[in-house]
Amino acid sequence: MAADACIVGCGEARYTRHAPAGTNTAAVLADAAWLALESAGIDAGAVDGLAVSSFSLGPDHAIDLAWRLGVHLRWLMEDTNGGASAINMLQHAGRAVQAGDATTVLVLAGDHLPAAAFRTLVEEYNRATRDHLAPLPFGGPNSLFAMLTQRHARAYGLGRSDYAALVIAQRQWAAHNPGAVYREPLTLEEYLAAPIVSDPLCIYDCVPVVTGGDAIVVRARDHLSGSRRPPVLVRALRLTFNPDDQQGDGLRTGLSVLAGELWAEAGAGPRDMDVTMVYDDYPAMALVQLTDLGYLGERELRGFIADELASRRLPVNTSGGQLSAGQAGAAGGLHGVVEAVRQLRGEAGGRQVPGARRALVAGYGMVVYRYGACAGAAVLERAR
Amino acid sequence: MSELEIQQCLRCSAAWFPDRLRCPGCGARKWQRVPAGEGTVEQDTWVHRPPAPDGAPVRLGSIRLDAGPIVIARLQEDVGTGRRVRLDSGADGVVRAR
Ligand SMILES: [Zn+2]
Repeated sequence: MAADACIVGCGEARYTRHAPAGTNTAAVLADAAWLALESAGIDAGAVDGLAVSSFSLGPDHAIDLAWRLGVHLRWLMEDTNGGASAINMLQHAGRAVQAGDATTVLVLAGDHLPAAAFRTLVEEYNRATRDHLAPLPFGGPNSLFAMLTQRHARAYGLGRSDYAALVIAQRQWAAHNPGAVYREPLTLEEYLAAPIVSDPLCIYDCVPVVTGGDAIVVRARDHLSGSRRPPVLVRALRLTFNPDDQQGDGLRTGLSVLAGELWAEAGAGPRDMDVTMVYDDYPAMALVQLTDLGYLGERELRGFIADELASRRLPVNTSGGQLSAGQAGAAGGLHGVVEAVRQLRGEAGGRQVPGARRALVAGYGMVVYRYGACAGAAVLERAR
Repeated sequence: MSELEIQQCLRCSAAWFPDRLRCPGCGARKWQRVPAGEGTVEQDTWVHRPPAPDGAPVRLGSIRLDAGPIVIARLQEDVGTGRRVRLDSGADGVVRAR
């Protein structure tokens, strides 16, 4: 992507474990939208493009949301790529503002999934799940990623305490994020004693489902008049879909395919990133993405976890990630983008990484049978 | 209850599960159904809070068939990683390893 697509605002509708009665997805998405427009200093009347990803917006679609938001558009997109939807929408929105198809694109993601709706989503996620996994029953993706984590632990010689180190470090970041649903410190002893969900995964390895939404505003660089805060440039962006026909072990994602091109386009590498947001639906997947993107260099994963993640020397998932902040359905990917933008604009409060200028954000998702089939990443940079 | 059937490409003989619309191996689109045959349990896990009617833990495994595909199936309690198994498929849609 050429460098002139910018993120000029971001917002997050408050994440809650138990949303009050009467909560609905459209209203949550709207909350995030107003916050993002306010942070951009842009009036809703200027919005002429809208992208949305949500598992629970139905029976409404993007156009119904546009109508209810009262925005008049010439560009509209609905995305179904789950954890990769944010990077996908950012790619399309960036192209739209570059091409002049729209000037101001609001990108939204969020969900309100009460227990019954969540169960239906999990069991009817796609045809393969409905026909072959739900009848077992399989308990949702936890069991699939439990077995993936077993493969990962064996391949890299890791034990439960290694995965715990990532979870505990993210909880330490979350302590400084008022928007995270879990902020209390977590000890290794508590982690090891926690109830097992699907061995070897315990409750702290599985994201807490929350109601919430995230939003960003995308503009071309020559449409920045009036923005008070520094815009964030999209330096590079790449996605892959179905890179391996689900014939692998799930220990590599499409990020391993796109990493070379991504870094070349960005003119930067992992060591140049001041903050990194990877898609932490499970600790093993966060580690897989860091590995795929080349963060380890010549180091072994076990030492990397101890030296870089447990110490928080490498700022990864500084919001606490989904594991501590919560997973608001399809907002999981956009949550990372919002946190990166906050860091790059110096708006991350007590968790601010001083002088953060460049960020990597990765998305991953859509388990088609055994593991996720969509992955993407973007390199973001503060413009001034 | 009968043996699980999988999809086999008529051109290159590669087997697939779940069904595809185009053979990832050779690109052909003509198929036959074949018995899944034997496989090996590569991972197993107890799912402690499944939506089973009785809420009882469910034991699942990842089975690599000799024919190629990897199938997620329900395991009997005494079946674990490393075991050779065959897969049955019931009218209820449950794939069971025995
Ligand atoms: Zn073939």
